[in-house]
Amino acid sequence: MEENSNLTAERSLEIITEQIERSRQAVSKYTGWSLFVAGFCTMGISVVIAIINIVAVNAGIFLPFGHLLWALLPVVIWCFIRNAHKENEHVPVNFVGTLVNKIWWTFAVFAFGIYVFGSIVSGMVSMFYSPIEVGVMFSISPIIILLMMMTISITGHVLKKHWMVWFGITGSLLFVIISIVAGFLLSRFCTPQTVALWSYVAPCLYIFICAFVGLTLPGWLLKKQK
Amino acid sequence: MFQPLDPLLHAELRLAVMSLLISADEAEFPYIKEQTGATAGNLSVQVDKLSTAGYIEVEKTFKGKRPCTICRITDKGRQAFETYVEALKSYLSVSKS
Repeated sequence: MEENSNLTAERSLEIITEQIERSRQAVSKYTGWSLFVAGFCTMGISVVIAIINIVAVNAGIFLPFGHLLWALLPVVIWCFIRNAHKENEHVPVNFVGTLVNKIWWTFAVFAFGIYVFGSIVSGMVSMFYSPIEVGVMFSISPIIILLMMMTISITGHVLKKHWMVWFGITGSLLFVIISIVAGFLLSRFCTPQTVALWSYVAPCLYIFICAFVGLTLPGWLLKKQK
Repeated sequence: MFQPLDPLLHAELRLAVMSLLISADEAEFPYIKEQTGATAGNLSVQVDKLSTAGYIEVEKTFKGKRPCTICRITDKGRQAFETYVEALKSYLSVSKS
């Protein structure tokens, strides 16, 4: 671009539009990458945790050891995002990008707080009850999943993606209904082992779906946006 | 009646820099250079002019061991840009009619 002061009004407007659009696209791609990587890591970890819990239950260990891995998630996401952004480290962040980032970090802080609190309380209660009873009584995953659905809805409002808003709302309602129905059916017709297996694996499945819809998919759409 | 156009903004490269910064919180020098397609020397001169006028602020810092120049638009710059766009509108409305 040359230093030219003899601009027409049309050319000036063209420069402004072109630069704002280029900047918007670069920032969208950058934000999209962050969401995509975060979603992908969450999905990957939820699969690993589900496998560990299934193996543990099949081995007769009725403790959701796999859930301890959730503590590693922020570190894994941070490492992957840092690595993914090495090539385009100069790209700035705009207001929308910062907002989406802060919304998800707020969710992460609250979810981690609930996770730590729940782990301590269930650890204390496990001295008096069996692991299966503790798993049923002190399941923190419904709170985290509902928080995640709420975060998806807020992200949808910020990114102006109505399908995300509606996914958060209907997903929350469906989650509550499925949990009540599944809990009732499992307690009526299944063995305690099956109930334990369901309560250890189902949160991973919900979080996998939430991460796909709330992070990976919008991230991919932003990344591919032209 | 035409509103006068700010001569500092009525230049291709300076206008491009301001347009980039208006939509981002802050931007690094290599990013602005890449987006505008300007040479480092020319861009540096224009950034200095905008900085002297108080339209942008330039922060020279380090990213690890590498020097890093970050540019941010100021409130004065934002106001000047808005006034410039308003003035442009008056020209465009006349040329349309």
